[in-house]
Amino acid sequence: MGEHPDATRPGLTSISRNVWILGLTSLLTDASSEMVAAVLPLYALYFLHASPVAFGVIDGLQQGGASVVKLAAGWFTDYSRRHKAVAAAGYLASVVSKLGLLVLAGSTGALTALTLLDRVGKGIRTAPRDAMISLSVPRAALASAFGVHRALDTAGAMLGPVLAFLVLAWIANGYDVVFAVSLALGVIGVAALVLFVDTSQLPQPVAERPTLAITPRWTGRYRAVAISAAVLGLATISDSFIYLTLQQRLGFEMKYLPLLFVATPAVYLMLSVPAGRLADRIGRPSLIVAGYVTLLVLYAALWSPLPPAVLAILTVCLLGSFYAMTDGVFAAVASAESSAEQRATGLGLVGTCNDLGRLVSSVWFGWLWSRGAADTAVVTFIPMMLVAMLVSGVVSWRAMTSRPREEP
Amino acid sequence: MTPVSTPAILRVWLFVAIVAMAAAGVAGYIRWRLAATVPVASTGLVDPAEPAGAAQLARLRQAPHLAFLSRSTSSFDHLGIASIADPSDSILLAAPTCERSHFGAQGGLCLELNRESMQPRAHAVLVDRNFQPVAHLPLAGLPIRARVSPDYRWGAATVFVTGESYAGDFTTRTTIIDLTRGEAIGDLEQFITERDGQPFKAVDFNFWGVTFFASGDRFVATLGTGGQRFLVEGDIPRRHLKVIGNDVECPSLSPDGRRIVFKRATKGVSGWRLWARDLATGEEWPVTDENQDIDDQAEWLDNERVLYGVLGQGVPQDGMRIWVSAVARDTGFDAEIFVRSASSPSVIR
Repeated sequence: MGEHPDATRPGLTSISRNVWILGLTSLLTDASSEMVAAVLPLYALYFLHASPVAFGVIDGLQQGGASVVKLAAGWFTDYSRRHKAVAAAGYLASVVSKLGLLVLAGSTGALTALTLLDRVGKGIRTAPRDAMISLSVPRAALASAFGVHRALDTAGAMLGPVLAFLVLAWIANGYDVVFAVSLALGVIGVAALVLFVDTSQLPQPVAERPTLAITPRWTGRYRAVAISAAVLGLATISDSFIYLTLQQRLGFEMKYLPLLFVATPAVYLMLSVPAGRLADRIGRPSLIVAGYVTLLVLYAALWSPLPPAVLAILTVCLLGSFYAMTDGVFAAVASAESSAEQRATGLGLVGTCNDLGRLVSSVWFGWLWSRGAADTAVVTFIPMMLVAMLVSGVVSWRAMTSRPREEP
Repeated sequence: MTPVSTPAILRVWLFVAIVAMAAAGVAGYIRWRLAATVPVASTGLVDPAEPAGAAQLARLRQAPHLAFLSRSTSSFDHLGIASIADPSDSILLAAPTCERSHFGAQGGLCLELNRESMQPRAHAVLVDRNFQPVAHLPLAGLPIRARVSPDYRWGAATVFVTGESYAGDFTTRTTIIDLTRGEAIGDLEQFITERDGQPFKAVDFNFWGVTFFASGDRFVATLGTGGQRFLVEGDIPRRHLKVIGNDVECPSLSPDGRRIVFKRATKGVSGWRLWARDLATGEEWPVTDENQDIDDQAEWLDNERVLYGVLGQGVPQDGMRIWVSAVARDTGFDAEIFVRSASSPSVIR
C-alpha cells in the first residue's frame, strides 16, 4: 500500500487534462450555484414573501452547510475508491436542487430544503474532486494544479451573478428562467465530469476492502497540516465580517461596496495560477506563511486610520492575494502529506478542520461585534493570528525535523 | 458511471448532445415563458390621468375601498383598487408599481425596488390621493413593510439589510418619514428605548412592523433583540420608545386603537399565525388556525375583521392571496379569501 502513482510520472499531457475538466465542471457548477445565490434574497422576499427570519436561515445554510459532510464524503471516497462516482453524486445533488427550485419552490420550507441539498452536494464533492486533482498531476506540480482549478472555480463564481442579472434585465421577474439556466449549466458540468475525467490514475476499487482505508493513519507531517488548518482558521475573520468592518469604516460611501464583491475574486482569479506555480517552485509552506502575513496586514489596515478609498483598494488586493496564496496551496500541502489511498479523507479532514476553526472564529467575532466593538474585534484578531502562526510554525517545524516514522 | 473504455469520440459526441439538449431546453423554456407572459399593456391597466381611467377610479372611490398590489404574473406589483362591498369589482392601475405599499384616504407610501439591476435600489415613494408620486426617498435595503398613519402625518418604511447578518440572524431598519414635509426624520434605532423604566440598548436592535394610532404621533412596533420579540410603544416628537409587551411580532392597531392583531411563531411547527391582544387588559387569543402560514402585517377591515396576505400553493407569482378573518374570540376560525393574486392590503375609508 502507499505506492504513489504520481510520484514517478512526469508526463503532463494526458494527466493534467483531468484538472482542466474538473476546473470546467467547477466553473459551470459554481456559475450555476452563484447565479441562484445572487437572486435568492430577492426571490425569497418578493416572490415567496419569506420573512427575514426564514431568509436568515437560508442565508446561514448558504454559508455553512457544506463543511459538515466534507469529512464523511472524503472517508467514503477512500473506502469505496470511487472518487468520480462520489464527486458526481455531489454535483448531481446540486443539479437536483436546481430542478427542485424550478418545479416546486413554492414555499419557504422547500426553498430551505433545496438550499441545504445544494450545500450538502458541495460538501460531498469537494474532497473526492480535490483528491482527483491531486492524483492526476505529479507531486511537484500539486500547487500549480490547484491554482488552475481554483482560478476556473472563481471565474464561475464571478460569472454566475452576471448571468443571473442579464436574465433578469431581459425577462422581468424571470427568476424561474434563472433557475432553468442554472439547471442547464449544472447538467453540462456533471456531463463533463462523468464523460471526460480519466480515473485510470486513481486507486482502483478492489474486491477486498483494506482496513487501512477505514482507519486512516496519519504521519506527523500530515497532523501538523491539519492542526495548522484549524488554528489558522480560528484566527481568520470571515469575508462578510471583513466587508462589514470596511462598510463601517467607509461610512455612507456605500457605492464602493458591491464593487468589492466583484473585485476581490478578480484578484484571486488573476493571482491563483501564478501563486500555485510559485508555491511549487519555492516551497508551499512559504506561500502559506506569506498568505497569512498578507491577512495580518489587512487586519492592521482595517484598524489603521487610512482614508476609506485607500482602505477599500487595499482590502480587495490583500484579501484576493490571501486566497490565492493559501486556498489551493493548502490543498496541495494536504495532498502531499497523505497517501493516495487516503487522499480524499486527508483533504476532507484538513478542510473540515479549517471550516470548524473559521466557524468558531465567526461566532467569536459576531459576539464581539454585537457588543458594539467592530474595531476591538479586529484588534483582537491580530494577536490571535500571531499566536496561530506561531503554533502552526512550531508544530510544522517539529514534524519536519523529527525522524519520519516508518508507515506500515 | 460511463466506462472509460467507451471510445473517446463517442464521449465527445455524447457531451455535444448533452450541451445541445441543455441549450435547447433553456431556449424552449424561455420561448414558453415569454409566450406565457401576457404583455402588461393588454391586460387593461387603468391610467387615472386619462378621463376614462379617472372615471373608473372615481366610481370605486365613492365607497370605502381597498388598495392592494397585484401578484398576478401579467401585472406583478401594479397597484389595484377594489370595492370592499364586492372585491371582484376592481381595477389595476398602470402606475405605480410597488413591492410593499400602504395607503390612507389622503395618500400613501409605495416602496419600490428596481430588481433588474445588479445593485437593486429601493425607494420610498410618497404618493398623493390620486396615486401620483410626489417625493422619492432612497432606502438602504430591501423593502419589507410599509405603513402610514390614519391622519397621513407619518409613514414608516422597513427594509431588510443583507450583508449585516451572520449566524442565521438578520437585520432590519425602520425609517420614520414625515409625510407632510416629504423627508425622513430618522431610524428607530436612533430613538431612546426604555424597558421597566431603565434605558435599554443593544447593537442587535431590529425594528419592524410599525402601526400608528389615529392621532399619528404615537405608534406600536416590534423590537427584536437577543432572539426575543418585544412590543414597543413609540412617541415620534419625543423620539422615545417603551417596551410594553413580549412575544409580539408585526402588530396592527384596530381603527379604534383598542386592540392589536399580530403574528406569533407557532410552537413546534415552522410558521406563524395571527393573534389578537386587548391593549387595556393584555388578554390574547388566536385569530387564525395553524394551517395558514401567515407572514404579513394584518390590516383591519373594520373594528371586527382583519385582512392579511397568505402564500397559496402552486405558482409563487399567482399564489399570494388576501384573506379576511373575524377577530372576536371564541367564534372559531372563519377565514375566507377576500382577493386573489394580491398582497399589501390597505383599507381606505
